[in-house]
Parts: sequence; structure tokens; C-alpha cells
Amino acid sequence: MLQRIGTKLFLKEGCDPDPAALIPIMQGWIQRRQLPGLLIDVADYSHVHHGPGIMLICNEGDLSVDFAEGRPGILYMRKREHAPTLPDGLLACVRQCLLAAELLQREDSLPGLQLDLRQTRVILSDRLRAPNTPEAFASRRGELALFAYRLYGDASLDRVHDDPRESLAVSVNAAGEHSLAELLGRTATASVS
Amino acid sequence: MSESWKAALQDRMPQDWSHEIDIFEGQMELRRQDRLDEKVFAETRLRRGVYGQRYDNGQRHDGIETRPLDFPSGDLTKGPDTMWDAPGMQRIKVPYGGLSIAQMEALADLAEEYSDAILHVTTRQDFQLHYVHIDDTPDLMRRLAAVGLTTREACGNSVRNVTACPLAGVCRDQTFDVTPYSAALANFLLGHDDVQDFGRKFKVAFSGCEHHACALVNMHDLGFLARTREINGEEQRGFTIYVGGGLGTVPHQAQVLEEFATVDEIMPISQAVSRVFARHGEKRNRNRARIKFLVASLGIEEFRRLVREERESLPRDEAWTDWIDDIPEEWERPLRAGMALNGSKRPAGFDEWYRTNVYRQRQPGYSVITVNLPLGDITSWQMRQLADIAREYVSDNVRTTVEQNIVLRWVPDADLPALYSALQAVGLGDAGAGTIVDITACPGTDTCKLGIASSRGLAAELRQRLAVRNATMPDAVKDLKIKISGCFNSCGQHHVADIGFFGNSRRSGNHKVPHFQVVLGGQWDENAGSFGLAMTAVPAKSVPQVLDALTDRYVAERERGESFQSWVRRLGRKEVRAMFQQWTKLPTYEEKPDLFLDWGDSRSYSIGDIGVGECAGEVVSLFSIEISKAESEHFDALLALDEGDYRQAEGRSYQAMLMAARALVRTQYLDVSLEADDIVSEFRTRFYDTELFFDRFAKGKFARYLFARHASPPARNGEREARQRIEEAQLFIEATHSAEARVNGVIVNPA
Repeated sequence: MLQRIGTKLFLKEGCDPDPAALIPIMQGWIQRRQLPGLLIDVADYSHVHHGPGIMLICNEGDLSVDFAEGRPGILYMRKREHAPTLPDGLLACVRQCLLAAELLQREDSLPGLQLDLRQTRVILSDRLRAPNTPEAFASRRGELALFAYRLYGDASLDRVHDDPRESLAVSVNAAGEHSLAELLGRTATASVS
Repeated sequence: MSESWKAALQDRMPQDWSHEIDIFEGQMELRRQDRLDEKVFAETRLRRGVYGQRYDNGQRHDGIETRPLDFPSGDLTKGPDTMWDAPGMQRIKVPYGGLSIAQMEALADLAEEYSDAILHVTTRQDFQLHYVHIDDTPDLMRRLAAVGLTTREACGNSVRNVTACPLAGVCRDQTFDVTPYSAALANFLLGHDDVQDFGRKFKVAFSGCEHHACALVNMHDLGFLARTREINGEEQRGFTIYVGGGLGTVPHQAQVLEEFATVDEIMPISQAVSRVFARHGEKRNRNRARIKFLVASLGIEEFRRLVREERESLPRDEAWTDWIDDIPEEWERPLRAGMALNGSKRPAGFDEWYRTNVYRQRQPGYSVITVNLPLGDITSWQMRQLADIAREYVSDNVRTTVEQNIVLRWVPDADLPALYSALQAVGLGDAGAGTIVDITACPGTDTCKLGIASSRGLAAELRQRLAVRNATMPDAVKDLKIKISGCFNSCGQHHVADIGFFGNSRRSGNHKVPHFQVVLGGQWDENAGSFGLAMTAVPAKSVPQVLDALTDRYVAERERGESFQSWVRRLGRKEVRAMFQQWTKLPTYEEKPDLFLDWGDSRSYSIGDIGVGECAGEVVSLFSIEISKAESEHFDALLALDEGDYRQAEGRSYQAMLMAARALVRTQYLDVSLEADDIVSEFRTRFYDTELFFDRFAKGKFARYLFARHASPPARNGEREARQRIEEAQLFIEATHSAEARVNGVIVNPA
């Protein structure tokens, strides 16, 4: 079991959602229990540069409209992974991102919000069991490839950072185009709760 | 690859810290099995800096109704009404704010792996991580211990982080560098026996000069202000010692305990103050339990007499002075040679940043720069980048500040433009440090169980608005300080700001309206020289207009050279209230629904989520705390038995008996040492020979288990010996509980 695993789906270039608009949206999700899991609270980190933006705090993991690296996206970080395998856990994470994306796209206050679904960033935040080294990447490659296959079919993997201090992050790049509906279908059996 | 952080870091943690964390982990397991009382565990947890957060009672008002939060661990609690799985806060002590690059990088990793990738600097120079699961805390603590940081006594009724002026050692006006003294006292008091039995928390600060804010000694339980005097032509270092200051609901200015105490006296005096506080301080009513109430009720003369009397009776401790000879000539060294700011090209924005964020050191050619953190927050990624910047320019010369910022010291002036560009590139180059845009705020309703209004929401809003106007603001306004607390407890230090706010609420019809009480004219300088006056409460959403009205009028009406404090006094409370009157009359919900919302929150405002604060912790007896450690040791013995490590199982059982015996002895005699011979001897004299330990049936039988084991360790360490010792230890601990209850007048199973 890794300490934290997560996935991020990037927004298309030019999409820069107003963080203030996200707070009532996420608080509404809590009221209506619109995402799987135990939804607890909304945290506003929009004041920090390239930070986690607005974050929905949940028992199982946190979902944020995240601005790290200046690339807005929907990030879900699973806190305590209990899925039987890493691919299962990552599919549950990406499904949570997809469900959130589906909800966000329905919001009038976020017009034109589009995702670049050709790429999924995988983050393994566990410096004991998955340090950001070529060796650790190689040892996880099989599991990551299985996740990539189950999500996209044909896809390639790239390690994102060389800095060994960073979490191990891998870019999963789909060979072709995929729709939100299609990816929701591919992840239908996965769940964080 | 190691299987666990415990194994991976075994050789990098101080042994005693490692053992303490193991004990805490054992206590967690006992609590999971319901073998440790939740109140005792709560205080134990707080003393490890593991704090509760809003909604941890398992319910939350979502804007429509209060709904349960069904955490997976069900009814398991980590304290009264505190659910086990609920996200919590981990506070990390940083004595005098001193940080190394390795510590910065470790903090960044921990925030990412256990929290939300945000590090929050507090008004006591600590760090806080939010939304942490308690199950992650032992490993988090181990990783901190490996880089020399501890969470011990970061919360709870004990000595909190020892703070010091972030300019200590480089300040142009200092009497001398207080850093080594603050570090030594923090180390001395950490886990000291005499700071375990307080009714409330205890805050200590060191200041190198009298007239600047420095470490705000006037608002501390115990404050040290650097002084020198000449004795036989030689300069002697010492401190004026202050006691009994504090903010909170009822702010008190500290009083002088000793006009001049030499540096070798700071530890025995602190120890004596601790004993007097533990012995005479209030324990039942937590609202009156801070030392300020004790000093006020006794009077400073009587308090001083008690402290001096206690000081005389303290057994000599080498630790009082053995550190003095080790103080280096220079506490820290620059990484690069000092060099004047030359004519190199200055990046855009540099001049304004230079005006507000750069402090010229006493050492020529060097400056301190302030990294202005919005709301005290920095991301993990930014912290790593800042560590790289420190590595390049200043090495480990980094400190946190009580204004929730980070300073880099010993920056060669010639490097300032390049360093500014480097900070800008990672979003840390904001100007305005120490000015009106650099607003201090406690967590408030974001995460604090006591929060009434959103201090961070308001601070973010004001910061954004003021930053836009910063360039055109008159200097008299720019240099004002704003500090915001989410409730009257003053964690945002609103009493010592020019303009302070603390959260409260008012009712209009059937609806609550979030408000902030306006507190004006507090003094940050002169070490928090005076406290502000509460004026009136205004709706949270009206605060920006109130602030504009206030600052505009100050600019228009101030006399030449008149400070904000003087102007407020001249204006008078009546006139200020009149100025605010237009905002104090509340409309109905139907007329202005926006007013019934708090900043950064779209939910209908409610105070239904306010819980019981853990700030004070549970007042749990010293015996309860200490016997719980014995029980944890015994639990570890059981684990060792399960693993087939019989030697360790036997040894830990014996250790558990010693710890239990010491817990009992310390109800009568605080100074018993940690030596086994002393513990057994004192226990025998005080509880066995007197038969206080005896019960009606077993008499002294269980005590003799301890005596026998102490007299002769087992010849072999097999399973049988281990099991026997574990049984004996269990019985001895139970008997110790009973004896303590009898001695302290609690009737157990009356026959």
C-alpha cells in the first residue's frame, strides 16, 4: 500500500477557472452528496501561487481544481489506498476526476471548461516505497502500463521530473482521442469508496 | 528498501525521541482497543502536537442542515467527541523559528504525503499541517525527528514552542544574540518533569531589544529581554524576566519577575516558575488557568517570593549551565562574503520589495529578506524551491516569524536582485512584508473548532483589495498592521495590531450574521507594549468598507507625526463607534442576504459547528499521563512477546513497573530521578514501608514483584520468564492505579 496515489486531468489550454466560483460548487456537492465517498469540507488555497486551488476534503482522498506548475487540472489524491492493486487504485482516482469534470462542465459559472483527456498525470507520493528514481519507475512500470491500458488502451508512459525530491509522477499519454463519456465507461467498475 | 520509516530512520533519530514516538504509537493502539481512557489519550495526543479540527465530532452543517459524517472507524474516538478518522492538525515546533535546508525539504515531503501539500506558519513560529489522519502521525514524527524537529508539547497543557526575534544575531539594535539562550531553554524544558502538570499551556519568548516588536515578551507567560550590566569592568549578560503576560479573552501585560538574571539563572528560574505554576495554578477552571491569572491573584511580589523560595529548594542540575561553555562565538555563519548592492540592473518590482522586505543587518554587506507568505501558507513545491534558494545564497540561515513569514538571513546585498528574481519565479516575491497587506490570521472557521467567523477568508479578501491599492496608499496607512482572529481567543494576536478583528456573531430575525469585533490601537512595537481597545462589532462583509472609512479618516485627520494609536486615543471610543454606526444596524435576511454569508463560504452562516476547543487540552493529572506511558511500555512488552523477542519483553515489563512506580512516587515527590535504584528506593520508603500501596487482600505482594526483579534480573530470557514478568507488570500497574486512587481520596470499590 502506498501512502498517497493520485491522478490529474489537465484542463485544455486557455481554461483558467475562477477559484471563487468553485467554492459554492463544491459546497453544493457536499450538500447533495454528488461524488462518491465521505465529503467533509472545502478548503480555499487560491491565495498561494501554483497551489492546490480549491480543494474538496474527503475522508478517502482530496479532490482539487489544482494549479500546480501553472497548469490547471482536476486532481484527486487518494489518502490511504485500499484497492487490491495499484492499477485498481489509480482507476478509482481517475474516475473521481472524471466524475468531478462531468459535474463542473454542467456549471453555468464555469463556461467553456474543457479537459485535455489525451493525458493523465499519475502521482505516487510515497518516498519510502516509490521514490522518484529511474529504478522505482522501472519497478512500477508494469502496474502503470496495466493502468494505462485499462484507461486508454494504447498509451505510453513518461516519468515527469528528474528531481529525486519530488513525488514520482508519470505522464500517461493516450495514442488517440477519448471522450469523457468513454473514459467514464472504461472506469465504471472503479470506486474510491 | 526498508519496510517502514521506523526501520529506515532508526539510526537517524535521537534515541529518546524515537522511543517517545514508539510510546505514542503504543498508546494509539491501546486507545484503538479501548484500553486507554479517551480523556487521557486526548491529552497525550495533544502533547504530541496532534490536534483536533473542525467537524471532528462527526457532524457538519452543510448550509442546509447539520448532517452526520459517518467515518469508517465508527464510534472509535481519539478524545471526547473527537472521531478517530476525522482529519486533524499536526503542529510542529520550530524553536526560535530556526530552520535548516534539510528540515525545509522534510517538511515539504510531509505536507505532500500526509497533508494537503500546504505548510502553514503559525504566530508562534511553528508549522502546522492540516487534514492529517492520526494513523499517519507516528511516521510523520519519525521523519521530523530524523531532521531534528519534534512535535512534543506543541499543544496541550505544557510549554509550547519557545519563540525568539527572527532578527536575533543580526539586529542592529540588539543587546546581544538571544538565539543560543532560546535554543537552550527550549531544549531544557522539552519534556521536563516540571512542565507536565500545568493546568494550561505556557508560552515562552526571547527578545534581544526592548523597543521593537522582537518577540513580544509583554504578552507571554514567561518572557526574556536581553540586558547587560558591568561588573568589575566586565560586561555581564543577563535578562529581565517577565511573567504573567498573555492575550486570550482577557489580555494581561506581563510584569517584571526579575530585573536582571544572569544567563546561568534562566533555567533554574524557569524551572522554579514552572513548579509554582504547577502547584498553585488553577486546574479545574480552564478559563482561569493561565499563569497570568495566578500572578494577578497572588500579586507579583508574592509570586516572586514563591519563585525565589522554590529556586532555593531546587536540587542542583548540571543541565542548568553545562550548555553555556558550548555557545559558539557566532551562532551562524554566512555562506557567501558580504558585498554591497552594486549598480547591477534591478528587476521590475525590486525597489518596492527592497523597501518593505529587506532589513539591513548589523554586519556590513548583509541583509535579511522576508518571504511574505499569504496567510502564512506555502506549498510543498515552493518550500523545495525556497530550500534551493537558501542553498545557493544563505545555507541554513532561515527562520520563521510570528508574522507567519519566513526570513533568509545573511544575504549578501549584491545578491539581492538575483535572489529577488529567484523568489519571483516561484511566486514568493511579494512585497509588503510587515505592512498593511501582510495580514496575520489564525485558522478561524477554516479548520478551528472554536472559530466563529472566517479570519482567513477576511484576511484573503483584505489582502487582495489592499494589494491593488498599495502603490497609491499613503505611507501612514501602508505601515499599519492588521491582525485577525476567528474568535475572542486571540490566536491571530488582534490585541497587538493597529487594527485588529476578532470573530463573533449577531442575530437579525431568525438568522445569524457573522461579525468581527473591531479592536483598535494595539501596539506591536515595544514588545507588544499595549493592547488595543474593542470598539464595536460590524458584519464580516462590511469590514472592507469599515477599514476604508477608518484609514481615510486617519489620513485626513492625523496631526503631524501622530501615530495611529495616538489618533485612536484622541478620537475616543465614542467617536469611533459613531463612525461605525452605519454598519451596525442589521438589515433583514430578505433585504440583504449576502450579509448573512461569511467570507469564502457560500453556505448560510451557522455557529452550529463550533465545538469544544482543544487549545487547553484536557486537564488530566500528572499521574494519569505518566501511568499511561507505563501501560504503553507494557503493551510493547506484549508485542515483543508475540514476536518471540523474550529478552525485550521481559525488559520492557520491568521498565513498565519502574515507570508505574515513578508515576506514583511523583504524586508525592517530584524530584525523583529516572535511575532505577532511586525509583525503587523512593517507592519502598513512601508506599511500601508506609503500607499505602497495600490493598486489603494482596497486601504488598505486587510491590514485591518489582523489588524482586530489581534485585535480580533473570538468569535466562526464555518465554516463561517473559510471560511471568508481563503478568507481574500487569498486576503491579493495576495495583498502582488503586493505590493512587486510595491515596488521593478516590474511593474504588468500597468494601
